[in-house]
Amino acid sequence: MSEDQVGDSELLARHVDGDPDAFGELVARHRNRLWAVALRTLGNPEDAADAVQDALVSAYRGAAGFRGGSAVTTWLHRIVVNACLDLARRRAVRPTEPLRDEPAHTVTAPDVIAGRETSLAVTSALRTLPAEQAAAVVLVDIEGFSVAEVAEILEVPTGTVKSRCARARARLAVQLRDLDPGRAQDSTGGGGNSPPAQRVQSETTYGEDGT
Amino acid sequence: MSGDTHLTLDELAELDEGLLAPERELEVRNHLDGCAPCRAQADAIAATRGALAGVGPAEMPGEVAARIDQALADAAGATGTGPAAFDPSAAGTVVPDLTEVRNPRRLPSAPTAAAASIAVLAVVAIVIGVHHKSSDTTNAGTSAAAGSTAESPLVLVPPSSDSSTFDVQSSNRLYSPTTLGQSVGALVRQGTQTGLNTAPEPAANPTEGVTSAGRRSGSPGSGGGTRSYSAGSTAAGTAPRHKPEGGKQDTTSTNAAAPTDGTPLQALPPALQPYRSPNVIRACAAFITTTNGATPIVADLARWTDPAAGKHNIPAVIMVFPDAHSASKYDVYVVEPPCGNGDLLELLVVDKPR
Repeated sequence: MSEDQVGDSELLARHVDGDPDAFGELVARHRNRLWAVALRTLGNPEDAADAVQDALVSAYRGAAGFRGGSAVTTWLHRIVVNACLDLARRRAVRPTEPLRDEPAHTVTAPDVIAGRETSLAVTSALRTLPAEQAAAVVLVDIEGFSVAEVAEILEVPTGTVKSRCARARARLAVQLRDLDPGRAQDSTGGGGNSPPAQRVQSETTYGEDGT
Repeated sequence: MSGDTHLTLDELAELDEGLLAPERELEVRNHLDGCAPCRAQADAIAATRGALAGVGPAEMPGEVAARIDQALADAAGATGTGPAAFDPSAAGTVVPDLTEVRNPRRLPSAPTAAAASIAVLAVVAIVIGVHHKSSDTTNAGTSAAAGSTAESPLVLVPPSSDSSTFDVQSSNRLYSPTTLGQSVGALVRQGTQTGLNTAPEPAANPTEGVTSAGRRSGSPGSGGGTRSYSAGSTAAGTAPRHKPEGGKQDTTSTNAAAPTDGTPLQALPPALQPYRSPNVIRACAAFITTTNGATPIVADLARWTDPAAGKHNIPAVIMVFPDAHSASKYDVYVVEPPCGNGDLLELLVVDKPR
């Protein structure tokens, strides 16, 4: 899919020179990572699509202003994250639905779906963070950028990146604590005879309701 | 803060990130040595890092990619600075139906949707509920869809023909945890068998309690119809498919399968109506796909009752995914609109019916 023989900067330069395909190729290379950052920072696909679209259109138009001092990916991420933060600010309220207190209810499963549940819980919990914190922790802990790279993307000092990440992790830890395997088993293991099929477990959970 | 006060998560996170001043760091570490609860808190910070690192990559949904390519093409045309004929195919994406690109897909805000849904449900009760009390209607459960099958000319594409495609129904039937296995079994049968007209009655309720889904009269080709939406990008155009209406024939796109066929919408709560749009339902699926990496088998715009959670007859998108770990199970996601912005109500794993 990606033509590694042509670098990102070269593609951007070709685009500025009027190559009709260059920017599309650049987008095709990076769109999934940009999408992931926007989706997890903003917490919903509608806003993420808006932010990435706005960002890429402005990158398309402003490509000539790219100074080359940083990597093209850093530049693209900066534009996308800024679009996300702008959008989050325009949205007066960020949804701050906390996770359910009762993991036995939402997390019906033992180990099998634990991984997926955890990912889902993480992406849900991220939505409760201020967007600045979410962006920092998404870039560092999920996307694997270094603190220095994130400082460049966010255009803030590295210390700010670190403290945003720390605060974000502290908040997330509160929400994710219930998903700790030991505790989750405690809360789901009400009956020692819980059967292997999760559906049966859900029936036992709801059995008394008779609905 | 003295050394024998318990540490806050914030401070433990700062310790973890190396943000504490040296003398404070020493105090904190000394405290941790002697305090098991605080060590557990510190472990929670580490576990959070681990959980974040375990979140997998996400793939931009095909329709978002297409929409962005179109926006870039528009930008090129509008400014004249870029190429006049930006070719989206260069980016390996699907050319969408333009009407969909230009309609910003903005979901209604939750309070508005909830208020409107109450109003419309009341209307539905009047329209279809002549013989039934509304409670009967809401308890129709799985029998509704089975009853509707014979009457509704459904457009069905077996999901197996194209892994990136899934069927979307709008049965508006009621799901609940206790009957979920049966309901989902019926839903998947409907979604995977072309021309099905022999769906068994899986639920205890007789067809007398049929909901509006399949029984709205006078609209051949409508009713609680099913549509096939492509969840992917490049693979979308490859599978042969039946189109519900004569949309624009774009060989690279199935996005034209927009719900413009005059299907009566009255029965479906407003909160769910956006999900009749392929873009919106696929974005909803994509939200889940980011966490489980799978494509839905079938989705149903319906309602959900879960007394244990205090949820009674609320609009919900039911999405059935394959269970990655067991071929004999489905993962059923119950999503309260607006999808991706609201709550995931449930993830339930059910056995496939034999």
